Amino acid sequence: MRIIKIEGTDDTPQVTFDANPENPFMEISGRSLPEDVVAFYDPILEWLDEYAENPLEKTVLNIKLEYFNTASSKLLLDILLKLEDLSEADHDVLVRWHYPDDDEDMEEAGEEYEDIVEVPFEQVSYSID
Amino acid sequence: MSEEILKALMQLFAIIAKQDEGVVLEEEKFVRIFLASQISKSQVEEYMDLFIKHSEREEKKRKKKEGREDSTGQVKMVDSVRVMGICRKINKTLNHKQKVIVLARLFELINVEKKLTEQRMEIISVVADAFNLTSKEYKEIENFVIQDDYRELDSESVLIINDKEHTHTKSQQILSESLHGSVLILQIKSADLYFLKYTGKQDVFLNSTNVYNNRVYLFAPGSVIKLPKGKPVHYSDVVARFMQELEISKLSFIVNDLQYRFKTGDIGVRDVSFSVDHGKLVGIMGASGSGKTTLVNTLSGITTPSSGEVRINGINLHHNNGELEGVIGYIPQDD
Repeated sequence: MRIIKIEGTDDTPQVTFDANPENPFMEISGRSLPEDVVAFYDPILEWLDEYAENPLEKTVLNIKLEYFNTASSKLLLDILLKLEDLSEADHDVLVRWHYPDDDEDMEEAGEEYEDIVEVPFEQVSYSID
Repeated sequence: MSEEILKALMQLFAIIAKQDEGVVLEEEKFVRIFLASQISKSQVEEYMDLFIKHSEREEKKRKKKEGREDSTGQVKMVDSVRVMGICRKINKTLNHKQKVIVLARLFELINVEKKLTEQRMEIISVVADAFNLTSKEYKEIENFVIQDDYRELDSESVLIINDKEHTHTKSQQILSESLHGSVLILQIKSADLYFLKYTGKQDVFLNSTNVYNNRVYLFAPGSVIKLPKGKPVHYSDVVARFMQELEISKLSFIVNDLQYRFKTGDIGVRDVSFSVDHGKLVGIMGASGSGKTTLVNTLSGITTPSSGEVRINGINLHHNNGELEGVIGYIPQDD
C-alpha cells in the first residue's frame, strides 16, 4: 500500500500513514490549522478507506498535536470514526493520544474524543523541555 | 424534549455562553425562559443548576489557567470536541425541524446582550455543521435573529408585515396600516417552518399571547397574528405568500356545477361551484347529514359526480385521475 508522508508547517501537521507490515507507523503531529481543512485531510480519509479493506493485525494511530483549530477538530473526528468502523468490524485498533503534561486543554480534548467514539484510547503525557 | 436532550442543550448553551467574558445575567434569564417553555416550573431550577454548573466549572478552570498560557481569543480545543459530542447525541434524537429551532435559540442566546464574539459564532457554526444545515439557511437564521432593522433582511425567505413603502427586491410584504415597527417572518424551507419576530412596541398578539419585542417565536401551522389595526394575518396567508414565489407548486382547484346523486335517486350534492388557489385553507360547514362527507368524497376523487366537474390545474379529477396521482391527501374522520 502507498505511503502518506507530509512534512509539517506552522499551520499544517506532520503526517505519516505507512502500513508496511514490517514497521507500520501512523501519526499526526504538530499544529493543525490548515486554510482548507477538507482538502488537507481528504487524502488521509481516502487512505484509511483503502486501508480498511485489508488492515494490519493491529492498527495504532498516534495523535501528537500541539494545537488544532475548530475546523480541524471535525476532521479529526472523521478520522477517528473511520477507526471506529474498523474496530467495530472486530479489528484491533488503538489510538494513542499524546499531550504535553501541562496542557490540560489537549488532555481533556482527548478524553472528549474518547467519549464520542468507540475506539480504545491510550492517553500518553509527555514533557516539553 | 427528553431529559437527555435538555441536559445536552444546557451543556451546549453553557459552552457558548461562557466563551469570552462568560455568562451575563440577561443570558441566564434567557435560558430560564427557554426552559420554562419546555418543562414544568418545578423542574426549571434543576436544569438551571446544570447550566450554571457547566458554565462556572469551565470559568474556574479558565481562570486557573490564566497567566500560565495565552488561551484568549481562541475556542478551546476541548470545547469544540465537546460540542461535536453533544451534537452527535442531539442528532440521534431530534429531527431536522427541532434542530433548526435549537440553532435559532443559540443565536438568540448570544443576541440577548449582543455579545456576538468570534468564539461564540465559531461554536454555533460547529453546531450548524453537525446538524447538517446549509450555510445559506444558517446565515439566514443568524441574520434574522440578530438584525433589528427590517431593511437589512432582504431575502426571498423573509416576509415583512409593516406600513412602510416596500423597497425590497427579494423579500415579500404584507401591508398593515399604522403599525409601529415590523413583524418579520423567516421561512426555513428545508424544515418547512417559520420564525416570527416583532421589532416594534405596540401590542401584537400571536395566538392570543403578547409578542415581545425582538424575541424569536415559532410560527406554527394554524397560527394567527393580531395587529393593532387591520386584518389579522393567518398562517395560510403567510404560506400562500411564499408559495407564490414557487412556480412549480402553483395549483388551481376549480369546481363546476358539481352534482352527486345517490343510487336511491336522492341528491347528495347540488350545484356546487367554487375555485381556490394554492396555499389556501378552506373550511366546509354544514349540519350533520347535509352532505359534507359526500361533497369531500367527490372533491377528492373517491366518488364520481353525476354531473359537473373538478379540475386541478385544468386536469379533470374524475376522468384523468392517473395524471393527478399523489396530488391529493385525504384523512377521513374515524367513525
